[in-house]
Amino acid sequence: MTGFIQVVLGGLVDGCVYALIALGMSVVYSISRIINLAQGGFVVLSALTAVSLQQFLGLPPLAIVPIVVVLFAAVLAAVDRIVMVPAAHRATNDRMLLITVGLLQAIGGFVLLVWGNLPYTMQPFTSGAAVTIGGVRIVPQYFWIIGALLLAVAGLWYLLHRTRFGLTMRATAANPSAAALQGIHVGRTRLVAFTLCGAMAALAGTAVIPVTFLQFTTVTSYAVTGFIAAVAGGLGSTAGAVLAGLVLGLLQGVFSRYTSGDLAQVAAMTALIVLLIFRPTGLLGRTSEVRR
Amino acid sequence: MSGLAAVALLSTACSAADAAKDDGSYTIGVIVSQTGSGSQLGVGELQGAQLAVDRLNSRAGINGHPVRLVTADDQSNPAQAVLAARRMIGKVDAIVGPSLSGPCRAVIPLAASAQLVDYCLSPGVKPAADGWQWSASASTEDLAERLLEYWKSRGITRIGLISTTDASGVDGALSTKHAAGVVGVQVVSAASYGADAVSVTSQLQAVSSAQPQALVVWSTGAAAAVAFKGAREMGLHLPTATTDGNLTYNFLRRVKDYLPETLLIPATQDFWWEHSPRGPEARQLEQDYHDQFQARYGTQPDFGPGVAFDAVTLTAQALGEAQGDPHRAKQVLQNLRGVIGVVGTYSFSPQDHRGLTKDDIAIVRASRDSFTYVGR
Repeated sequence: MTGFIQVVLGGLVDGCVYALIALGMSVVYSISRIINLAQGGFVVLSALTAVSLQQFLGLPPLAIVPIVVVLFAAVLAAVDRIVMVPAAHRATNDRMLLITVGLLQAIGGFVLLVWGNLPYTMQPFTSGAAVTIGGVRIVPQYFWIIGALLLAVAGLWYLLHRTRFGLTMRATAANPSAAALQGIHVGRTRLVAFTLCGAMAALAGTAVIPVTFLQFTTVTSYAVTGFIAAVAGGLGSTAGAVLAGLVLGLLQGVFSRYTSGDLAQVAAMTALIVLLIFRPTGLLGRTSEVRR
Repeated sequence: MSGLAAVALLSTACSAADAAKDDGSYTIGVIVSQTGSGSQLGVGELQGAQLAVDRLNSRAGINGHPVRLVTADDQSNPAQAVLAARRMIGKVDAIVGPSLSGPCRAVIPLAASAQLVDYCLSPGVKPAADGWQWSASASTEDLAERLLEYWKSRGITRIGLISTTDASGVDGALSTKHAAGVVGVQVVSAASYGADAVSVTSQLQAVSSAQPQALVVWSTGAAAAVAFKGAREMGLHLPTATTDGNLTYNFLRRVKDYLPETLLIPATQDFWWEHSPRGPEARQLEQDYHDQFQARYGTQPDFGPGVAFDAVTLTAQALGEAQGDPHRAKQVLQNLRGVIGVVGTYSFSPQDHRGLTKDDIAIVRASRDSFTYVGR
């Protein structure tokens, strides 16, 4: 039983990272209707940037986090202005998906060029031995990963539901054309969405790299799992993205425990297909998103 | 960065060397993964190949014929390997490479149709009897058997196995299970994971639940690193072994803070030559190889350079004995016996295009910055 709980915990921690990626995708989608597959790439890019900054500046890993979060918030804002806005003038949203795929490939190539074909990791945010509760071993970094997700969810909820700008974001998400007619600056709202997306990518990347090794090949796997979570949760639904990310991590963990590695990957995709057949809106998506 | 610069310099110099058959030289095409996922091996392989050619040419070549290299980067991609091989056919007398098993398999039909020897640098392919392809280094089966024999001699008879789902992981898992049957060791649990997985907690939980005495991690690079780190986070302190694909100093530097307390790797002669029972001729060759490599590249050679060094040397020798006839070179090469190389002592036959045996394998222990011989 202890072993099973350990598996569930590991799966949920992985799920927190998937949820953060899906959350970023979902925020961007709800405002711009663009599925940003490059989000997985930015997670890895931010993580490796954190590693290099930490080595270069000699600061503690925890002190690097806010730097990288701000940096990638700015990077994604720049991506919106330099890549997405000009492209959106010429391409439909479906074509924009291809542009984000290209961006993902470009990030993978950039990571390979700068960091080479080597795996990278970073020291945990806080040192200290693992905590054992009821036979289940929990490394301190797990708390930071869970905390990163909670911070992102709480921050986003506060922004959307307790601020005036959040109201404009929700209005834009509900109907961008109507929001524009009401005088809402949709372009600026979108810029904020991409900025938040960058911050979430950086939170995910910096939180997860201390418990694993990342390299250029990881960009695709994060893009795929984040995409699955975002779609399964219901594109545009922030709560759905979080729920689906956690469920996906949990399912992968349990399947990996009791089946082969190949089957665990196939099972996640199968679960998504089955879900979308019976519930095209995803777990918490709106019907209008499907009809659009 | 200096390594990259050196490789760039080598590539430029070598690519310029067209197949200059009119001066009586033997031209060997070298296709390695200088970029992409296989570059961890390919860069060193190119260095080893160049060292071998320079050594041959410093001794007046092969029977007075200089040896030249024409190099290409397959970008770790089978399609690029095929393109590179196609460009080389007609201009080279033999091909050494590619670095990875996928690209190696992709160039087999070309080598066969052109009737050119192709000395693949990946141990992961199983060359067909009397075919045109050779495979470098020791076989996965021999590596696994040697490892399990070593453990059994130290009382370890129950092992857990975790491997990646890619071709080399599957090959390693099958070979380990087969070797366990041969040696009399029990694989009490096995699990697999994707090569790009970022977490293997569940798989390690599955493996450790059967309470093995030791753990085999048959995966390379980042995938192995993720498994080592996961094991440490789970408090799994088992003696661990991994594949010879991780016999690189770059890998050690990456994982030095997360190495298992005991990490063993089955390795070929070039990693434990000072303890090898081979005679003075082999010792001299190893000494020269290691000294020259250190002097030229500022580091000790690891997995990649040795296989390329031997492949180029053996191919050139075969071309020499075949008097430069690429087609006859195959017959000569597969009849070479007892040829001393840095990786091992080669005895080929039409059925055996690898030429090495378990005698060329011993167990080394990986520490933060070196590989140390521990036994056979």
